[in-house]
Amino acid sequence: MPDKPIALVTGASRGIGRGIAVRLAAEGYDVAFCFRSGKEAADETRAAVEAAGARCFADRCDVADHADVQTFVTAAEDALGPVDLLVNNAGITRDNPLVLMPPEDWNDVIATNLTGTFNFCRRVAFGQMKRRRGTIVNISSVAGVYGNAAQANYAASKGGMNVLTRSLSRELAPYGIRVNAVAPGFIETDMTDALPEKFRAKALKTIPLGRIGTVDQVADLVCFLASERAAYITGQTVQVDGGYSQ
Amino acid sequence: MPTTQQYLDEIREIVADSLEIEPDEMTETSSFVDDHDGDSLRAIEILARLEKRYGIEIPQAELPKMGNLRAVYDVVAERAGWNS
Repeated sequence: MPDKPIALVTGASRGIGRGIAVRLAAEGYDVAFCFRSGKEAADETRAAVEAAGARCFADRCDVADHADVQTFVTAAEDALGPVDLLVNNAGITRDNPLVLMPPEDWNDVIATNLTGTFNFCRRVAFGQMKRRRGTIVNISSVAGVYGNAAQANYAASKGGMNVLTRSLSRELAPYGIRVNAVAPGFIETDMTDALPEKFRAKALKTIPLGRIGTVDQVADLVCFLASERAAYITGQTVQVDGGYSQ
Repeated sequence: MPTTQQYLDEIREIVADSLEIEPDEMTETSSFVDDHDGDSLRAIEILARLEKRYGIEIPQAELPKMGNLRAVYDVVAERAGWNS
């Protein structure tokens, strides 16, 4: 029986990242994931990944820290093997209207969401280029396509991820590596659970399908883009948003 | 153990094959990019072939240094322990 492919998911202690990690385990990947905080939540993700029959490597990593990323990826590859699929999911929000947004909140969001994605792509793609195979899926947001008031930092970071995706797809295509982005809309997670009912009701009115998406629906798309069924798709930002984009 | 010159000639063959040029077109200091139309695709191919040939792992940080034959030899020699 051939070795299982290896997936690395950043920011998978909870939410969409956890959903993707567990789904990939069920789809036959061994899974490495990192987290910055929430050790207990990360332990739950690990247990779920292992329950799905996969080997799992998990550790803390600050994705914005280039040296930390080097250390984490090396340890993950030593434990499981070379990374076939990289899913850049780690992300933070620090919402505020422009004139109230502290510069450090701008910098933190860009550093984690955009520079973190660059750090992992740079490290993991090197090995994928040598092996001439691999896939990268970046978890973006519809905010990165359309922008969002009071989310200038988050939207800019996600828009940057979308163009990074397109650029890397061109650069890495000669090596047989595909790079795509998934842009979720309103998805049911801890983050959206915390929103006031009034805000949720207002958001629902902007979604043609009239309901909030699920983590599983995002994970489905990631699995598809990672698979051979998507062998001719690269450089795309695919929205999973209930028609919000229409 | 092979001499430095023998290693250099062996690496020259590998690099020339990747760059699709004749080995004698390359000097120890001619630039892969400026003199032999190399690009990043070739650079990774050269690196991967050298790793396989000599059973070494060349760190990502060494890649920018590998711009000519002598520089490649120096990187490989250090990793393979030829100088020790």
